[in-house]
Amino acid sequence: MTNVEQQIIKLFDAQDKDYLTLKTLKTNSQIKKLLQLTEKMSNTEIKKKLLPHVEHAIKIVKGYKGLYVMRNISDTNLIFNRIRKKPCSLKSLKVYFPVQTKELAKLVSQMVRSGQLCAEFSEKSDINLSIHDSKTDHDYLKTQKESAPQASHDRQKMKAAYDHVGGGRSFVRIYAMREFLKWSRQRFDRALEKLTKELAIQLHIGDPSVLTEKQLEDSFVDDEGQVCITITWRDI
Amino acid sequence: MYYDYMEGYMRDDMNYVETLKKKKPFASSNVSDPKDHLFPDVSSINDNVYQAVIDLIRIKAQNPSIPLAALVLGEAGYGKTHMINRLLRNVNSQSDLSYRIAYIHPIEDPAQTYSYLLREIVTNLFYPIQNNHPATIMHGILAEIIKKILINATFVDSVLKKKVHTILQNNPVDIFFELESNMSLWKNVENKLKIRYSNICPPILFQVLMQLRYNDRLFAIIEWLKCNTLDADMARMLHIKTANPSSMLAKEQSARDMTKNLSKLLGICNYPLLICFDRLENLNTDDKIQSFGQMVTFLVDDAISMLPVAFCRGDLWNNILKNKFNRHVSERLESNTLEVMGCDIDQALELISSRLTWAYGHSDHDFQPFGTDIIEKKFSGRLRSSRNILQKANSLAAEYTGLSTIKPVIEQLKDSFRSHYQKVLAEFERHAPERSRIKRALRLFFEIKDFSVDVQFGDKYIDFAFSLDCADANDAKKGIVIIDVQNHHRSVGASIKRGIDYLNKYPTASAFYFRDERSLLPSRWKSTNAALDQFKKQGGHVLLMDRNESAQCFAITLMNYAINEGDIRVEISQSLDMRKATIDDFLHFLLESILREPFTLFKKIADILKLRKKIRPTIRTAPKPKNQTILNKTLECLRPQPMMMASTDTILSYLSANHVKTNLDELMRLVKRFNDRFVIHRSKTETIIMIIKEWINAQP
Repeated sequence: MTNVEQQIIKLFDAQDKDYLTLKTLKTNSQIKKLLQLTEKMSNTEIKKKLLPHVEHAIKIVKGYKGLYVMRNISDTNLIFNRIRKKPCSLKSLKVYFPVQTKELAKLVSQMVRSGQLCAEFSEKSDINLSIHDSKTDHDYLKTQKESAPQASHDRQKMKAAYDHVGGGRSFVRIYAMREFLKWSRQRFDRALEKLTKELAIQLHIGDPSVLTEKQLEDSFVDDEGQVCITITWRDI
Repeated sequence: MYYDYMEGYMRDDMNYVETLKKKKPFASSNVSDPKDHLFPDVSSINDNVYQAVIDLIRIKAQNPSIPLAALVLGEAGYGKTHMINRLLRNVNSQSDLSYRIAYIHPIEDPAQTYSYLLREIVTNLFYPIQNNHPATIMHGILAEIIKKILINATFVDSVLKKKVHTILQNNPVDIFFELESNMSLWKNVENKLKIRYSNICPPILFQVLMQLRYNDRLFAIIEWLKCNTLDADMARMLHIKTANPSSMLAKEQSARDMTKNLSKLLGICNYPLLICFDRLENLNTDDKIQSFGQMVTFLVDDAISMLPVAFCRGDLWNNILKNKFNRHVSERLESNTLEVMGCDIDQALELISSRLTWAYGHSDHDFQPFGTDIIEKKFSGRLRSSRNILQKANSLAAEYTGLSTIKPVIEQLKDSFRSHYQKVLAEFERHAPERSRIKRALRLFFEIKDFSVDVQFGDKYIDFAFSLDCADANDAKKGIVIIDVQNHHRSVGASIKRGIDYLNKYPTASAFYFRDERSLLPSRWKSTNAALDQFKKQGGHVLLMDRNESAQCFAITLMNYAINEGDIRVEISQSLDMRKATIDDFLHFLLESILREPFTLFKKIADILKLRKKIRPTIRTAPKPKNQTILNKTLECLRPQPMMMASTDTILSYLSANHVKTNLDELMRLVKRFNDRFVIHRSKTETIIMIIKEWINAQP
């Protein structure tokens, strides 16, 4: 893996994403430096700079908003991962997606036919996409298999993260725990939901204005649509 | 028979719905004023915190000089202010313990740390014990001390002895009102107090306080206790020496001494005074934070019988405030850290049941018209704040009563303001003229009218300078604001002189002199009145605030505190989902309303400055096609984003990429206008827009 690829994969991991627009690369100082990018560079110019560094970890593709850099995975996996993270409508999926709309519609139809995705019509005539319970990727299968011990393991890890990040205090910020644990978004959110249902923790809305955009993104939206920024552990 | 039963059942069901409609038991979900006792208290909620505070008070009562403080943490809506409310309800409920409570609003002027603390404590000590009775808490404290003297005193007059003993047995405070004319009795009591407590309190304190029996001296006594400089007449009335206005430093020292003396007085009768610092979110500058720290340190170390308790949001304390305090302040407060918690399903049921019992007048309601199953289903599965429970119950009730017409946010804030305003008016005498609160309200007015405000301008007599630059130089305006609450002719004269000097220097500028109508300048202050006339002749504006106008200022400031705390919530959907009212909502409400009734004071200022009213639509109309496109595209941009939110920069780039021409101002204007669809979060670095739950899948 080239140095540039390593940096881009790091950026994907940090943002829990599989793809980014080429323009986004200009916002990362290290990548900007490595590729000698300037603010005024167009997508085509960025592509020219990036291409020599592309080996097998990433690829450059054309999507809804021009050129994207994405992990070197199949489009089907890309769609699957995206829907698994957040079920959405086909209309929402196409926005910003690194697969052109015509091709995307074709792939989604195939995945629905093969049972990899569930499609439901909403009353507004939208097609809502979600993951079929029985179909999943390797990571998810593993989670399912080890569900009970994993949950208990996750609870312990969450508590350890809570104690470590909070330094023995309550009202610990969720984004800091997320940063500390470095889990996938899905795993962290699922663990948080579970602990909430078990009354082990209490979610707090707090004052979002004290956080940065990234910190807010890494907080948590509860089932009532409220952005929660801290938790307190109630498991006595 | 069956039909009769069913008919009766249905009739009952209808009655329940009608009562819900009429009494709205869940409409109020916050205790904005700790003295509100409208709804029943559910004692099981946060009982451990309440008991822990009572234990601390008990320790303080047994050993008044022990240094103690406490910190109650909890996010908005979890019952911090309600905890103060509960402590207030129960001041006399413990057989072996009596305590009093002082509720301290956030400090505005850090230069007056100790004077402010003293003023707030004194104001609280002069709250009436009960309605329709002239006795205040201070009368009660004094009566307890007098009781210690009189209960064992020898009386020559047996009739007097019998009368005194009856009063002391039934209601000791009546001693001030039933025997006020018995001069020899009072002289004796005063002398005995001075002798017995000569090494605890200065004799002058007893000399002044014994005059509480004269109602017409109450104002002078309060002013003296607040260490405000009294004019010659007031001093003569209290038989004390007149004094000249002192420097700020000397005044601060006097305030410290007086607070200590009052704490010793409380120690004599074993009445610990719980000093509750609420709404710490309003400590928005480092100076204010340090000032609060000084108050806590002083109360813990130097004021016996006073127990400071800070009520603060958990995240704010742990991640922000704590780091800004000296270690000895945070350690003092954290030595007793308590946390208010969310309610489990049993507590949620109890809370809802108590409100229904209050509404129906009986507890045999079995959660009608909802039924226990529905309530249990709705509230199980997580710990919830009491505010969240009441809001959800309110939205559930709306499904039954059909009262789900949602008002625009601005209308809801108008209702909230009206409620604050009515509360201030109802207990107006408790709101003594407080310069810092009037200043905050006036500053808000000038700022929403696009003036630049300079609070550093001039010296301590000038509150702030304002200026407005306009393209047309003729429309440019500038001036100063002087808020005067002093009652000594020299201080008042000095304030007016600053106004005259300013107008001499800037003849075309405006100078405003504000004074509460409750303390008009006496006609005998000849030179001061002459200076005021001179000020007016030179174009100065004297605005004497009547009861309504003072109450408007107080209500605006108190509402501002509540907004900062996150205590005012607004409905945002037909299903009565709620969100915190933001400072932007509040400023928008002020901008729209401040030149209308009841804001007569601000209307006067606007007329003087010839401010044109900005015309804004008050009724929301359907968006124009271009705006509709911006709104649609903004929703489209946000939906795929993590947590369905993004910075304004991201949204603007998306709009631009989609060939929608707009700019930040226009975007923000639309997002604010359509606040049923979007929430604005001002993050540390950016402004973030988020879709409201109802609009996640909805089509515009």
